[in-house]
Amino acid sequence: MKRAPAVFVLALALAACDSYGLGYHLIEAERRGIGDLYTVAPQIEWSARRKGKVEVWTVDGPSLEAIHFFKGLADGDVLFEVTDQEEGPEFRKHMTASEVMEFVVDSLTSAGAAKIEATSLRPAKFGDLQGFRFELAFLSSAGLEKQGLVVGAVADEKLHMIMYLGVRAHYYPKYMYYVEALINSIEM
Amino acid sequence: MTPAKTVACLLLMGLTSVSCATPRGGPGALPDIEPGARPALESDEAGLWMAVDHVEERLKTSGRIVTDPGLNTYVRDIVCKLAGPYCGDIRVYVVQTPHFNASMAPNGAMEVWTGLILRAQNEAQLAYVLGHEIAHYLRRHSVQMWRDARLKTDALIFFQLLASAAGYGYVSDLGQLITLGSIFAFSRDNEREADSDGFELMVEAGYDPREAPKIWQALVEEREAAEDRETFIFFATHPTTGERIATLESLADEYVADREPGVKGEERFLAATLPFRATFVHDELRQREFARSQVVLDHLFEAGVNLGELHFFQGELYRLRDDEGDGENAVEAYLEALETGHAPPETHRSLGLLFSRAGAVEKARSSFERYLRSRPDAEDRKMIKAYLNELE
Repeated sequence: MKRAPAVFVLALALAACDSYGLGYHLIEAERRGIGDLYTVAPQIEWSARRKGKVEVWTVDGPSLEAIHFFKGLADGDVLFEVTDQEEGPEFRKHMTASEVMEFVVDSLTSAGAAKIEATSLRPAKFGDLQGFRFELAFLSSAGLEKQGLVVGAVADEKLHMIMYLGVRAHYYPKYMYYVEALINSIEM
Repeated sequence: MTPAKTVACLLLMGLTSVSCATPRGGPGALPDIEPGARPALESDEAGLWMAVDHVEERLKTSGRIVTDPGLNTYVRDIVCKLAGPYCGDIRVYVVQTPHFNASMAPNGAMEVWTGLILRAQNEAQLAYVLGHEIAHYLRRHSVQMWRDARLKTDALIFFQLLASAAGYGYVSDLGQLITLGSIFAFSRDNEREADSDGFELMVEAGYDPREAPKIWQALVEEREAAEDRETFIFFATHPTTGERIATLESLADEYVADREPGVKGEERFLAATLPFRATFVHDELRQREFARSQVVLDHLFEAGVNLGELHFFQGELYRLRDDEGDGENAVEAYLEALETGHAPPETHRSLGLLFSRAGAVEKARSSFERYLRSRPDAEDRKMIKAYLNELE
């Protein structure tokens, strides 16, 4: 009972931050859990925000670069909640890596990305799991060139993915070393 | 997409499109635009043009602009044929988005969305829609609308909206655009005028006017099939009624009764657009609005060109929709594609995925192997090899 008030206050403080619309909190470079499935070593400090099954980490701001963690999307979940009119495609539990790539590409399109190319789909380890990996190149609706990297796996009919997106000039390569190290640090 | 940008986009999208209550010749109607003219610098119209010029600058570098010179030249040539002496005043931008739309800004910037190109069955149908928009531009309906709106609301807001607008044309927040569409919708008088003037432009350019009502009819059919009828951006600014389609039909019949009907331009249209059809159909399908997409595919099947590709896309529709029985329907469609002898190699990959899911190991293996043989440099070859290993 002595600890409960401290937790309660912390929760309130976080809620207050969100309610003021800030939403971001500091992630220190110490191993931490991502959902219920795995932990990662962040490598550097990031600003992070969470909403539902998605967690976004960034240094310069998500329009420049960001790591998106999708923490166990279930059958029927969408990748991005866009608007009421355009929700985008839904994940299906029986999807193969090819179909997940299609799901990601179509979701990014419904979120405004243009001329997306997805390349080099191949098997890759996601921690201990046998998963997949592919690269992305696309234009934002304003015509800015962006790149992306996606790694993931379907475990117990749920999709776990790490998607790193950034502006091709400067920002995407700037944190690539840390992103690769983070991915390699996945532990179940 | 901020509300300000949304409203500005909508304004610009349908700027031809707007409520001019007064048709040409009526009291208060604006004189037609003159070729090569720009409004006097001190005029309100010049302010409107300046704001729209800013937006056009952003449009030029938009991620959705189609840069292919062949397709751009083809569309521009149609516009020039229709617009005659105004050809030099019009700049055409082809925008890659699966939605049906065309629009003109008062400064002569025209957008043609690839969803329109996909749905036109020939050059005459495309020309009619473009002629309709040019008619709005020639009659300066958008300027009239803006002046009418200024009387009712704060003029400064419109300037501010236009000046701050970005993302002219396609925006990802279609919902907001559609919701606001009715504010900027054409009046019935505007529409009738654009219909009849667009009709005149079309026949003067030598096109068969009987094609004009067909493209509206196809769009109405698509809307009736749609699960969500509110997601048609074109209808938001162009209310379409059966009466207008019937009027076009009788105008056309009357015209051809004692004249040569003019050309449909099917071969020219196919030569220019077929190389892009797969991309445009793919864009259409990835929206996952299957009822509408089926209507679009049905019309493509009626035209009967490159059936191998169409059967493949029919299969893709079933595979993506994934309703009960769609797995079998998809396989059937892919097999029909293969029978034509001109199916895209991805047909084998999709078959492999479905056979694999159904536990048909030999068929899955054979399909994946055929895919790799047809596409030895496939971007996903390592993944396909992994599937093959799992099947062993």
